[in-house]
Amino acid sequence: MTLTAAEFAELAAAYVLGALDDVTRAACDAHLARPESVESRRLVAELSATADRLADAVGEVAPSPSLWGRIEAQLPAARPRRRVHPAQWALAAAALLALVWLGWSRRQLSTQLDDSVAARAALERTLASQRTVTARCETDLAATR
Amino acid sequence: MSAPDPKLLLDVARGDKAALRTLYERWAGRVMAIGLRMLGERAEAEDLVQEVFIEVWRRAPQYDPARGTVSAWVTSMARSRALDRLRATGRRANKIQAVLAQPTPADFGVQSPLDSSVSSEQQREVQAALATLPGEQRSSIELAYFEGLSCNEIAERTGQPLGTVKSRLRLALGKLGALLVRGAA
Repeated sequence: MTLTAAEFAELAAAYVLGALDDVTRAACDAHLARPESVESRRLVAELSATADRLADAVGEVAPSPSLWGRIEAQLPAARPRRRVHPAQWALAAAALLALVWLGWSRRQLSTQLDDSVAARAALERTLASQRTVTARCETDLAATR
Repeated sequence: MSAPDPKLLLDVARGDKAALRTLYERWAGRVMAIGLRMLGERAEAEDLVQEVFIEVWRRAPQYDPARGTVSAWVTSMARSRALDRLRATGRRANKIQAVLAQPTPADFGVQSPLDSSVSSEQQREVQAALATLPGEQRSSIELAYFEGLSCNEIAERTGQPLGTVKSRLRLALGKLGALLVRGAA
């Protein structure tokens, strides 16, 4: 069932009072969800404000003084444990994986750095050795001349 | 000056019992009156108040100020829980004739057995607005709002066509809105 704005306006009061059957209510919800239903949404807001005022008609009646004590006694048990949203679990898991990866990467890089330093030292030793040989050769050559 | 309702509800969400106590002192009288109006018995109305404020304690983190005031949130919760109780005990049908027989809108007001009802400006304003409605429009509104009947059920119980019931609700709520806006201006 698809409603026009005019058809919705006829049902709007019953809609905000919760007096529609499930099928008609679903049709109203679908109508209100449409981007072009701006005027219908404004009508719902206006009628809802009026419907909220209906409760004012009953005024106020003081409950018995002992009632708060009954309520307070149930409060700790009534507070639910904070539920963690699945997205929060996923975020925490992703952060943990990232930390593990960073740690592993750091260790790998550190090992590579150590290897590079050792290789450089070996090259420098080889170079020094070659320089000694070269110097010796140059000395021998000079003596021969 | 005491804290505004949204701030109190934020504190309730953090587990502040004193904030809940303040909200209770502010709104328990309203919830109690709704309970008496819809359920008819003081003991059951007090059970409703207890249920509602424990629900406020549990659901405070879910309150969204963008969707309405705290009073509307608490009132809506009270009405829903009262309707649940009426439906659970199948008492709605027994109350229909009483609702239809109400001759004046003054009956919207609650007369407490302990004479503890507190009249307010808002109450008088809404009752005055209701008083201007034709009886059948007033009855239709009351059956829908306080008894939780659907249009189909109201039509069935009152013997009126479904379209007539919908029209009455539309006309009644529209007139009330205009009157209350005018009264507030």
